[in-house]
Amino acid sequence: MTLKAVLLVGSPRGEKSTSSSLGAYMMTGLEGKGWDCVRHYIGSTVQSISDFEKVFADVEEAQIVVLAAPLYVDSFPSPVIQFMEMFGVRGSIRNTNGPRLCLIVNCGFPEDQNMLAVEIAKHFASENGMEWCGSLSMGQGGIIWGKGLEEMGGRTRRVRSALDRSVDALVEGKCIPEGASRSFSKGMVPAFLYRYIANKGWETAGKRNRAKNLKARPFLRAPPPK
Amino acid sequence: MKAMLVDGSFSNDTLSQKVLEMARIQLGARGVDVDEIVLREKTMHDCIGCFGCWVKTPGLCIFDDFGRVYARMEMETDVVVAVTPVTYGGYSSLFKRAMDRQICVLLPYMKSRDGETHHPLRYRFYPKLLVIGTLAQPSDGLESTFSKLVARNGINGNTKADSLLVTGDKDEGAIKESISALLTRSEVVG
Repeated sequence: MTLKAVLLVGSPRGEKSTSSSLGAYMMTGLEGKGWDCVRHYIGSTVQSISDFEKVFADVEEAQIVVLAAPLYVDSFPSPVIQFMEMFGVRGSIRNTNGPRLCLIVNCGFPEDQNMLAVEIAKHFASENGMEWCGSLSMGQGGIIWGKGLEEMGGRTRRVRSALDRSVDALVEGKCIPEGASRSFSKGMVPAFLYRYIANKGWETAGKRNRAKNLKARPFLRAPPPK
Repeated sequence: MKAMLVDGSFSNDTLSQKVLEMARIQLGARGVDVDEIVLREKTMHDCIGCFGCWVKTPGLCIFDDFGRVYARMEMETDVVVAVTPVTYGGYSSLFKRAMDRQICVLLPYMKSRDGETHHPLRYRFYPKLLVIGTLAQPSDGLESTFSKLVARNGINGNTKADSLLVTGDKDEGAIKESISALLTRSEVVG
């Protein structure tokens, strides 16, 4: 019997996202172990009931579900929450042997600030009949920015190694190893350097878009009357 | 004092509707000028993570829909009181969509504050954030995640934030009292 894994990409940026890069790398690893892997983009899934039903059916058949998503305002982006709501309304999974859910989450800050997204994913798993099998959580998602991890070379060596170790554990029916989680969250560059590069990057992007003042205040409150 | 009362619930959610009604009455009794927003009746695009509100039209989302109106109202009010069903420890997708669309009120840059990186503030004044979560049954795990989420929003938005969780097993008197306590400790007065 071929084992099945489903990747749910939760980034509104879809295929061009860091979440997609990280999730795709894990799926390639699972495919290399003979698993049948399916990918879905949550942003389009929640637009219609029929699309959602297709994803639900895939999740029901799967042994492993990987949710790969970014951090938006300390939690998941709204389409991911909407997907979770739809999932909860749809009802419990018939597959009594799983699936197992793991999470890959990244944020744009230099340090890992994803702790509450991890908690929310855990609650989602436990309330929907899925076994939680761990998370890989990182900051500095802006460095990857949708690029393939292998083409980035040495910068993503530790990230790829953590994903490889996680794939090995998952196919053996184990959870994501704690060592892999720790290594994944370590960051690719020092925090001060990430902030410096990011701040320069915003200025450059502003100039490229001919934005005159990145500090503009279109909703400035009128001063109180004297 | 001005308040924005935000309904982040779905139409069949009687508990959230009850809590909203109580919050509305209490804000009125305190002489607070209330603007009410029912998110399920508004058209608001999801944030697509394009960062256009930082580098193309600074301070304004590229989508000219209710998300922009919400941001303007937020910047003109003193306190946001939101009611949302607790969804796996977080907010409803309706309220989360509104929150996601508010990154335009911060600057893109990154600064270290108390050992963590945050975005600096675009404006001098930000409203307090009070979020009331509703949940059919008590759950320590969900309550813990929810209260931490509201606190984190306060830290990242550099504003005072507080939360309250109302469960379906509470009677009206207890709910009223807890909403009153939340407003009092947050100094919400007209």
